[in-house]
Amino acid sequence: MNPEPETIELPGDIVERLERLDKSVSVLTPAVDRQVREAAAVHFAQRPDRVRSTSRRWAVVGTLAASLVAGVFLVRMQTGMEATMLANDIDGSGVVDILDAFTLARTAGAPGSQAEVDALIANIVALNGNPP
Amino acid sequence: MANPRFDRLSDAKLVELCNSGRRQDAVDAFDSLYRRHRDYVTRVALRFSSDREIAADTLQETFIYLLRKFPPSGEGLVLSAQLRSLLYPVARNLTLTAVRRQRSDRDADVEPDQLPDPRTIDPEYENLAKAMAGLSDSHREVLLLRFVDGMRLKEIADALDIPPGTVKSRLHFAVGALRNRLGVE
Repeated sequence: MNPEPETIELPGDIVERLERLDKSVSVLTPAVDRQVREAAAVHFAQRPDRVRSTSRRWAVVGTLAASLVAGVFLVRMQTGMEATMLANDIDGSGVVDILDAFTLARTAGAPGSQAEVDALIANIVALNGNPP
Repeated sequence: MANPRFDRLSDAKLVELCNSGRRQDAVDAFDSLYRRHRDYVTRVALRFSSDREIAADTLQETFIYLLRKFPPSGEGLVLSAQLRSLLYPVARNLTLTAVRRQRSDRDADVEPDQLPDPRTIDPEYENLAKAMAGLSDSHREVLLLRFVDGMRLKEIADALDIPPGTVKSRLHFAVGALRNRLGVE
């Protein structure tokens, strides 16, 4: 409550009528509206829009960073999958099967290659759901 | 275009955005201030002049004055009272200057009290309008500032650049005179 006007009051109905009387006039000001808006645009155009340009810059950096992370992730995922797949996919067919064992067997002669062939065959059998 | 998001903000917040907000925020904030107080400034002008062209000019010049208070041309605005207490003296002085200029151009000798009322008076308000017209400018002014514009005594004193005691005595007299003219106990 404002204590100031307590000693100087007008009846509420008179105040209400005064307000209505004062507000009973309106002047349409479309030309002024436009001019004031234009003046404001010109006035504030002189102000550097630092916040906006900074946010844009960060948006660009953020997008690039996100793209980079996504790219690295995809490449690594793909490489990992390929590495997993290629671990036993000797002939590069995309499938680990008995043909890989034959391919490996054709390289026989190298030390330890027979053991590798045996291990590969055991793995293929396991992949097919049969116990080695 | 108006930004409805800004219409919900207080005058103080809008002034703050005009002071230091980014470019588009400042433009939108100023536009909100303008639309919020446009009618008030126009009404203030019409309290001192019946000329709607003068009222429109006053409206424009008042807000250009306000605009220049903000950076880069101004140092910014600190709102210690309601914005109307700042707009009022600007609108009042601009209107009175325009009225004097117009009067000088026309070489007329019309006192402000004798200016025709710009409003089409509704019969319901005719007695009140006559009672108000019977008050002097200074008494009518403090009455409107206090009871229609809702300013406190200190704000009226600041707006009119007069001591608070003078505001109080004018208001006391104006209320008494209006009650008498309206036959209110």
